[in-house]
Amino acid sequence: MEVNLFAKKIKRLRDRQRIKKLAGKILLVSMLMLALLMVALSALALRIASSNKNLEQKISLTKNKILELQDVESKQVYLVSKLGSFANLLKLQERHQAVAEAIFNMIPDGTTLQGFEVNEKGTIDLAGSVPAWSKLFELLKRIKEQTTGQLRVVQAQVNRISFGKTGAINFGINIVLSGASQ
Amino acid sequence: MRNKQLMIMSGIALVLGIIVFGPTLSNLHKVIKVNKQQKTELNKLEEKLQILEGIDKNLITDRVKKMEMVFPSDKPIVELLSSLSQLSAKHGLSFGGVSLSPGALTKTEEKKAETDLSDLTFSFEVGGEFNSVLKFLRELENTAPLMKIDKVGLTIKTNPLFDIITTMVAADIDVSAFYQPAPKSLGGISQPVKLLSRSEEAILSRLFNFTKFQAVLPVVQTGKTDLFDFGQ
Repeated sequence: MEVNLFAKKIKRLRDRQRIKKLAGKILLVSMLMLALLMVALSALALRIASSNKNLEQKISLTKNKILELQDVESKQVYLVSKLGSFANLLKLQERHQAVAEAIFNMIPDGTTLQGFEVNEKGTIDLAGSVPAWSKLFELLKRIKEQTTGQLRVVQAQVNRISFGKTGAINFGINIVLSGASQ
Repeated sequence: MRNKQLMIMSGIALVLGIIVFGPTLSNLHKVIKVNKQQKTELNKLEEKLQILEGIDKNLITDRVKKMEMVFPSDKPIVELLSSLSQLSAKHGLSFGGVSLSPGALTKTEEKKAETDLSDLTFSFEVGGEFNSVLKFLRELENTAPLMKIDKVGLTIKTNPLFDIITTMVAADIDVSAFYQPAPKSLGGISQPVKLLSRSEEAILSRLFNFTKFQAVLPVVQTGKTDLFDFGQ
C-alpha cells in the first residue's frame, strides 16, 4: 500500500497555481478591455472635440453674418422698444378724438365754450355761454339726443344757468360719456 | 493570503482607474458640455440670422424714419412749432400765443430710465372760422409729431364791422407732445430679435397716416452786413 504524505499539500499547490493562472488571465483580459475602453473614450473625446471646432467655426461665421445685418437689427430693436408706448398713445389719442368729436357735434353755432377738458375718464365739465335761449335749448336737445360718433351720453347734469350783462346765457353742464373711460 | 492578493489587485485597479480614466472621463465630460453649449448657441444664432434675413430692409428703414417723425427720440420743439404753424396756415387760421417750457436742452441726470416715455406740454391759440378750427383740431392729432389735445377753450370773436354770417372763434388749446429716447445698445449678439406680431404690424402701419410738415426755421440774418453795398 502506497501512502502519499504530500497529497493535500500538492492539491493545495495545484489549486493555488490554477487560481494564479486564472487571476493572471482575468487581469490580462481586464487590462485589454480597459485599454480598449480607454481608446474608445479617447476617440469619442477627439470626435466631439473636432465637432466642437466645426461648431465654433459655424458660430463665428453666423456671428459675422449677424454683424453684417446689425443695421437691420438696430432698427428692429428701435421699433420694438417704441412700439409699446406708441400703441398706448394711439389708444389714448383715439379716446380723446372720440370725446372731442362728440363734444364738437353737440355744440350749436354761436356757442362760446370757456373750456372743456378732454378727459379720457369720460367726465366732461362743459362751461360756456350761448347768445339766446333757443341756442341753449338746442344744445340741451343735442346732448339728450346725441347719437352720432362712437360715444354715447350716459349722464348729463346741468349745474348752472345764469344771465350775463350782455344778454348771453352762461351754462355749466357735466356730461359722462360711455366708452370714453378705460 | 488569497484575500490579501485580491485586495492588492483591487487597489491597483482602482488607482489605475483613477489615474488613467479620471482625466479622460473628466475631459470627455468637459468636451460634451462645451458641445451642448455650442449647439444651443448655434441654434439661437441661426434662428436670429433667419429672422434678420427675413426682415425687409427698405420697409424697416421707412418705418424707422416715420417713427422718428411721429414719435421722436428727442424733444420735438422745432418740429412742433413748425407743424402747428403750417397746419393753422393750411386751414387759414391765425396762430400765436404759444407757451411752452421745453426744459433742459442738454441731457441731465434724470431719475427716469433712459427709454421712458416723456411728454412736452404747451399751449397756443388759433383763431379763425369755427369750422376751420374744428378741422384743425381733428387734423392736429394726426399730425407728426404725435400730439394729444388736453384742453380746449373756444371764444367767439365776431367782427361787427363786417356783415359776415360766419362764426369767427379763438381757440385756446393745451396739447401734450410725446417723445421717447431710443435704446442705447443692442444687447448680446446671441440675444434673440423680437419679431412683430400682426397686431403690432397693424399699429406700425398707422404711422403712415400721420401728416408730416417740413420743419421750416425762420431765417435770421446774422453777422455784419455792408449797409452801403448797393450791388454795383
